Amino acid sequence: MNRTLTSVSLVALLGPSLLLLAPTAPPRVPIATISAAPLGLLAGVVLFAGLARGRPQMLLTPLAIATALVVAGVGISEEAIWRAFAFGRLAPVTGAGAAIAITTAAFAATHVPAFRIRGAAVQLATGLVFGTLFALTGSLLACAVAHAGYNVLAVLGRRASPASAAFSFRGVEKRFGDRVVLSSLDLTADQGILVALLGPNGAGKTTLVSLLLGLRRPSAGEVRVFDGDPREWRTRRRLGATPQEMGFPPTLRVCEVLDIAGGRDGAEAFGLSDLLNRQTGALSGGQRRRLALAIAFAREPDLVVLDEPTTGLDIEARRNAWDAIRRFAAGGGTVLLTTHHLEEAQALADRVVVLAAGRIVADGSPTELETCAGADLETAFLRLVRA
Amino acid sequence: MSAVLVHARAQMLELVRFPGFTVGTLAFPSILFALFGLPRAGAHPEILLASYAAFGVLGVGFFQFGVSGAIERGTPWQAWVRTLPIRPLVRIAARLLAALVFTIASVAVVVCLALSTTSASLSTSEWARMIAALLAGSIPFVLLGLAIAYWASPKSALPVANILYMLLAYAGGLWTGPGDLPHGIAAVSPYTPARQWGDVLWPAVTGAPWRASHWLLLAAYALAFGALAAWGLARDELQRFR
Repeated sequence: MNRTLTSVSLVALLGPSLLLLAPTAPPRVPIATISAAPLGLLAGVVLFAGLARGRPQMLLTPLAIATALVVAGVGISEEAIWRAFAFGRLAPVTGAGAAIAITTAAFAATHVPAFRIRGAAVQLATGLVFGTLFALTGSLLACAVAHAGYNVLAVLGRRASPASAAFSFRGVEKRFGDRVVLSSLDLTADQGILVALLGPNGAGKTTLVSLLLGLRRPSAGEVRVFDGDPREWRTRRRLGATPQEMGFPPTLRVCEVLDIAGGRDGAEAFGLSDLLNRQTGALSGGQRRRLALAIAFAREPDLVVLDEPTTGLDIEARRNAWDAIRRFAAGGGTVLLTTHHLEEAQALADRVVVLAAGRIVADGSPTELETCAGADLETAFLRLVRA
Repeated sequence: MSAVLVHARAQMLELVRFPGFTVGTLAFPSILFALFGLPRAGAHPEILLASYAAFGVLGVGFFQFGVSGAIERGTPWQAWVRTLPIRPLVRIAARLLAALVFTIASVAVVVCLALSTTSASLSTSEWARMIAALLAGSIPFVLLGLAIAYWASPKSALPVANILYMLLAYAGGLWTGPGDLPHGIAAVSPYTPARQWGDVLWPAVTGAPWRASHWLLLAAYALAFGALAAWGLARDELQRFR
C-alpha cells in the first residue's frame, strides 16, 4: 500500500516536468496556449458528464481535494508519457491515426489490473478522446489539461456515490423453465430503512431473497446490492443473511458456527452466551432461530436479509430479536425481512412490500397501506393478495 | 488465509465428531491390513504398506469428498455459506486442507501399524517417491469422489461409495498385492484405476523405475473422472443456483 502511494505521488510530481521535456511530434502545428487550456478543460468536463452514471455530487473534503490534486498530476504525467513520448516515436512510423489507436489501447491495457474490464472500457473511451484532441489541436497542453480535469472530477464525484441505494431490483424477472416466479419487479430500498416483505406462501419471497443474496441470477433485469452484483463475493462483504430453515451442521458447536459467520460478538445480544459450546444439533428450535439471527449480524453488515426471523420464538425472545433489529436499523443499517406476522411488519417496518404471485401488489408504510385499504393491515393484506 | 483455516477447521470438526466417518477413514484400513495384509506380508511387506496407505487415501477421497459432499450438497447450510463474502476458492482450499489432514492421519495409522508388525523398511528416497505417488495418484480418486458427490443422492451416496471403494481397492490389488488375486479378477485388474495407482506405488517402494504407461493411464482416469465430476457440478449448479 505504501509503495503504491509512493509511486503514485512520484508520477504526480513528475507530470508537469514531463510536459516540458516531452519530445512532441505533434500531428499539426499546436494551437495557442490561451485557447488550448480552456478547450482541454471543456473536453475533460464534457467527458466526465458523458461517462458519469446518475447525478454525481461533488464532495469537497480536504482529503478528497488532496487526492484530486494528486490524480490531476497523474493525468498530466500519463498524457505526457503516452501522447508525447510514445506518440512522438510512433507517429513518424505508423501515421497519426494508428499512433492514437495504439497509445490509447496500450494506455487502457495498463489500467486493466486496477479497474477490471468495465474500467478498461472507460479508459479506452477517455484515451480516445484525449488522443483525438491531440490530433485535432496538436497541443499536448490541451489534452493534459483535459485529462487532469477529468481525473479531478472523477475523484470528487465518485466519493459522493455511497449515498446510493442499499439494494435495488430493476425490471427483474425470474423463470424456472416455463414457470414465472417473479415478473417485472422494481424495488429500490434506501440505506437505513427497514423493509418487510409480506406475501402468501408461493408468492416468490424466497426467490426474491435468493436473488438478493446472489444465490440465483435473474432471468432478466438487474439486482444490485450497494451498487454491486451480489454474485460477486466482494459485494457481499456488506451483507448478512439468515440461513433458510435454520439448518446447521448438527455436530458443529455454536461458537464454531459463529466463527464461520465472522465473529462471536453477537452472541450476547441473542442470548447465546451460555450456549457457545453446545452442538447445534442439541439446540431447541428457538435457540436455533436465535443462532440464525446472530450469524446474520456477525460480520457487522450494512444490509441484513432475514428470512422469517422470529417464527417459533417465544414472546421474550421475539422482543429481544425485535430490539436487536431496531438497534441495527437505528445505527444506519438496512433490513429486509420476510414474515408472515403482520404485527411484526407493523412493529418494525418503515416500509411494507406485499408480494403476490410474483408481483408487487402494494408498497408503502404500514399506515399508508391501512389508510389506503380503509381497514387494518390484516384486512388490507388479505384484500391485496386475493385481488 | 485465515478464512481458509476457519473453514477447514469447521469441516474437520464436523467430520471428526461423526463416528461413521472417523471409523471408516481412520480405523478401516488398519483393520483390513490386520485381516488381509499381515498374513501376506512375507517377502515384500513394503508393497503392502504402500497399498494400504493408498487404501487409506482412497477412503478420504470417497468418504470426505464423495459421501459428505453428497450429503452437504443440498443443505440450507451450504446455501448460506455461499452467501458469505468469501471467494469460492476459499471453500475449495479449505476442503483440500481438511482432506490433507485426514489423509495424513489415515496414512500415518496404517504405516505405523505396518512398520511395527512387519519387517518393512524404506529408505529416504523410497519414502519420498511413495509420498509423491500417493499424492499424485490420489487425484483421480478425489475427482471420482466429487463425481459421486454430484451424481449420487444424499441417501444413496454411502452405499455407492462403499461398494466402489471396496470393489476398486480389491480389484486393483491394494488388499492382497497384485500377485495374489483370483484368476478372473487378475485378468481385469490391470485395467482398473486403483491398479494403476498400485503400479506407480509399488516401484516406488521396491526401488524399480516408474513406467510412463501407468502414469498416462492414471492421467486418463483423472480426466475421465474429472469430466464426470465437472458435468455433475454443472448440472447441480443449474438446478440450484441458476
